[in-house]
Amino acid sequence: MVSLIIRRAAMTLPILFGVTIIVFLLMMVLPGDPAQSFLAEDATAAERDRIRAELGLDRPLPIQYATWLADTVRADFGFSPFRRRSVSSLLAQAWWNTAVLAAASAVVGLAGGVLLGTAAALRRGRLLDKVISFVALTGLSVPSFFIAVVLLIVFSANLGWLPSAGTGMDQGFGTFLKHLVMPMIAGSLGTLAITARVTRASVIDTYGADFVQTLRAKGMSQSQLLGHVAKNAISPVLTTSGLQIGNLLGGAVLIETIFRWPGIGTLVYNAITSRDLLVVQGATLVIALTFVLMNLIVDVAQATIDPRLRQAVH
Amino acid sequence: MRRDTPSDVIDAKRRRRTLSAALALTLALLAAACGTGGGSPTDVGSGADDVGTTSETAGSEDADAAAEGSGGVLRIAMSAANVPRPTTPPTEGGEGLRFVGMTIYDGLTRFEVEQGEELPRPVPALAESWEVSEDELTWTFTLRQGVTYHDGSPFNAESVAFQFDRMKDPEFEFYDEFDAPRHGEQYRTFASWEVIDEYTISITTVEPNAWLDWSLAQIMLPSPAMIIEHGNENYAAYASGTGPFRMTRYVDGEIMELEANENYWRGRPKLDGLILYPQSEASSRTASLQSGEVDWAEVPAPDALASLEADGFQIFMTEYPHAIMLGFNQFREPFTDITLRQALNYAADREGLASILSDTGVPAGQYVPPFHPAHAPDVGFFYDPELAAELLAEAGYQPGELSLTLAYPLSGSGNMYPNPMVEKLQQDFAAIGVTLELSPYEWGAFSDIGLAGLEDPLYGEYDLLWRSPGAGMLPNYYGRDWICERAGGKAQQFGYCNTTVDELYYEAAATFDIDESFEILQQAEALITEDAAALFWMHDLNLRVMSPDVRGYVHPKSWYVDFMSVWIEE
Repeated sequence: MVSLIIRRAAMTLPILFGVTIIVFLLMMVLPGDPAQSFLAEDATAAERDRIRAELGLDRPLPIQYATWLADTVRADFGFSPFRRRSVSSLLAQAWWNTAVLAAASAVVGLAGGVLLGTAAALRRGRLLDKVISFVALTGLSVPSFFIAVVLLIVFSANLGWLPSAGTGMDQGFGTFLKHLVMPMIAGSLGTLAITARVTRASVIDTYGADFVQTLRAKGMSQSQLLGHVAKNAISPVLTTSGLQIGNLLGGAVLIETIFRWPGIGTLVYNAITSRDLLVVQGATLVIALTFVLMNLIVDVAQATIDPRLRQAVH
Repeated sequence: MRRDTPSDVIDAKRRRRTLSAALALTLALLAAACGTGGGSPTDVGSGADDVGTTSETAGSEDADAAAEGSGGVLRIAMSAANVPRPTTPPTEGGEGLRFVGMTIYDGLTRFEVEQGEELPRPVPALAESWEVSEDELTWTFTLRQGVTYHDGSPFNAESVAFQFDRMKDPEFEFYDEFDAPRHGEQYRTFASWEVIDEYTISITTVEPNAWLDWSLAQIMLPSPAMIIEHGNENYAAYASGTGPFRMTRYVDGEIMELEANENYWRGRPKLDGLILYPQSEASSRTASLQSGEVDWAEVPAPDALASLEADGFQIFMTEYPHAIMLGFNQFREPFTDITLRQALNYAADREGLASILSDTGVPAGQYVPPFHPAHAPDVGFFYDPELAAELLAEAGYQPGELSLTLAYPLSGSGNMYPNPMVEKLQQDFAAIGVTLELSPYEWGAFSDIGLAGLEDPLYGEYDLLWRSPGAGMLPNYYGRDWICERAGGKAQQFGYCNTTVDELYYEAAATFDIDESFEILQQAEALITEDAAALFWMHDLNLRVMSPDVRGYVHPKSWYVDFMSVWIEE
């Protein structure tokens, strides 16, 4: 198990390295000049050159990248001249906001998805199954920003039950919960839908397995049987959960923008718009790291639950 | 302070809307969000007759009568993506100057935005009066005495010179290398400045600049004490000016709170405070207004106007110096031909476009709108498809022979609603047999095209370039938009060049009687129009919506507003 973790952790390094190079190159080929934000409409060439020098954009690309990498290895993400703040403080603020929303969305989406998926599998082909499948399909097909706007108009603009914007984190726990409801629902729907579908398929699949026939033949009760099925069916659910949580932690630009939730999605979007390279680089690294870690955790969890996987990776 | 926790104040009286209306609105919003522009927004019935009035709904008629009210905290949903950083100048463009710049700070002059009738001109602010020397190069300002910055330090000539040094002198200890270039335009003609005594300062320009007082209204003066104490890097957290509001809380990315400056030299503002939220999504701003979490929302989606009006919200629209126009690429064929430029100007159905946009804009026949002092009478374009077809034939094109490309931004403050607009133009052009190909750009990248111009080989393929200038808001915008060579030696963005226009512009810029100066600009305006220099298209109406409780607001013909007279009715 320890060697599994070590090997997996070692594999993340080239992934992270590759991600930063790709992002760096993408930012360079994007149209638009980072110096633009600091210049008046009638700026002179000299003013532009001076800003480019201040931003370090006058140096060759490999040097720019190497400097960034060297600083990052020392845990220094640099300074954003656009926001006049250290990139790490920007990342910390945004990541915390996103993490709170992602955790809530993940709990609702995963727990709800597993429950709905299992219920649908147990009632396969009946009305409940059809209703749940419809809900799941809707959750997958309707874009989250549409759900967000519908929620906003119904529960905020019309009924006035829930606040439309902001996190409310500094106004007490009750206020914060009210602020959390709509972004959480809009953000978790996709996770809920995918988890429900995967759970349903996996549970149905497992019920068809030979060992279930054997247990049934031995006269095991339905509830005892479910325990065995659940343990065997959980593996694919875990795999998708890792990706889903990674996704949620990456921040959802549209949901964050609609609900004025200053998370990492908004941060990256605004940074890309203003060509704030260091913020984009830092945030991408954090998001990639989150993904990689989530997958590592899922792999370990799976190996813990399923001895066959432990064998396979050794 | 009233209503400072949004979630606690959701207003019961606004809960009477029906869900069906909400869903219809949702669908409209979705259509807008998807950028289809296919759905025709509802007509709110605010025809052209309303244009020029400051407001058209309840609340406004009480404004004059109830001018005696005061108090309240005004909560504003801005369209900016972030809280403007309260430096000088603030970030976030026009919105930054409007909500953060001119609330925390003052300039030596200010725009007279407390009236909504005519183009706001500069009037004395921290400078009580000024004189221009015989050679028209040196301006001597007499400063207001007894004014203090919010941190308690005194305002005087030294503190004015401090900001000039900070923006214009790279050798100065507190020179701000990131904020200064953004301010370049305002300081372009500055040669030197001199503190004469505690309350007198002079500015010498490189050439006679009759419009220096206009530029000074955009130069905000921060407290040197705070910059010296905290440095340029950390100053924003301690922003301090002499303005009507004092910053009490600033969370980058989230919120800014300001409270009334009890000792403001123009008298205490009626409001107790301001709260600013960055909320770049139009449907989100609209919902926050409807739920009572904010009192003031910048540009809602035009589709939402009908329901907002029905629910008693105040809708403000007025003609102001802001144009949406399309520059013809005159660096090369085919737009070197004036007949073709005229043909397309007559091909654009501006009234039809206005109704698609719920009349949030009005047809433009030339660069500035009719109320502007430089507006040229007896010239201007209008919709005439037959004339357009005739001129197209005269220019040598049969229907189907001409195909054009347009570079335009997908969004961006002051760009109205680009997608439905360019799609309408596509139809208008198709009607006379001209094909229009669309090249959408994200706003940041698009700004670069404007800066580089179509002269740049990167962008030279485009025939038409979207422009959204503050047309004539300041007289020197004529220079920015129309003279042959811009600052830094670059050609005009889309290659328009008429040396007579240049001569008139420089003559106007050196004419110290402002009315005469505008008369000269009017001649330039006529020439620019006669040259069909661009496709003159729409004037934005500066759409802004507020709760019925906001009182005393005057909708000015400017990007800037006056918060002194506003209060919230309890």
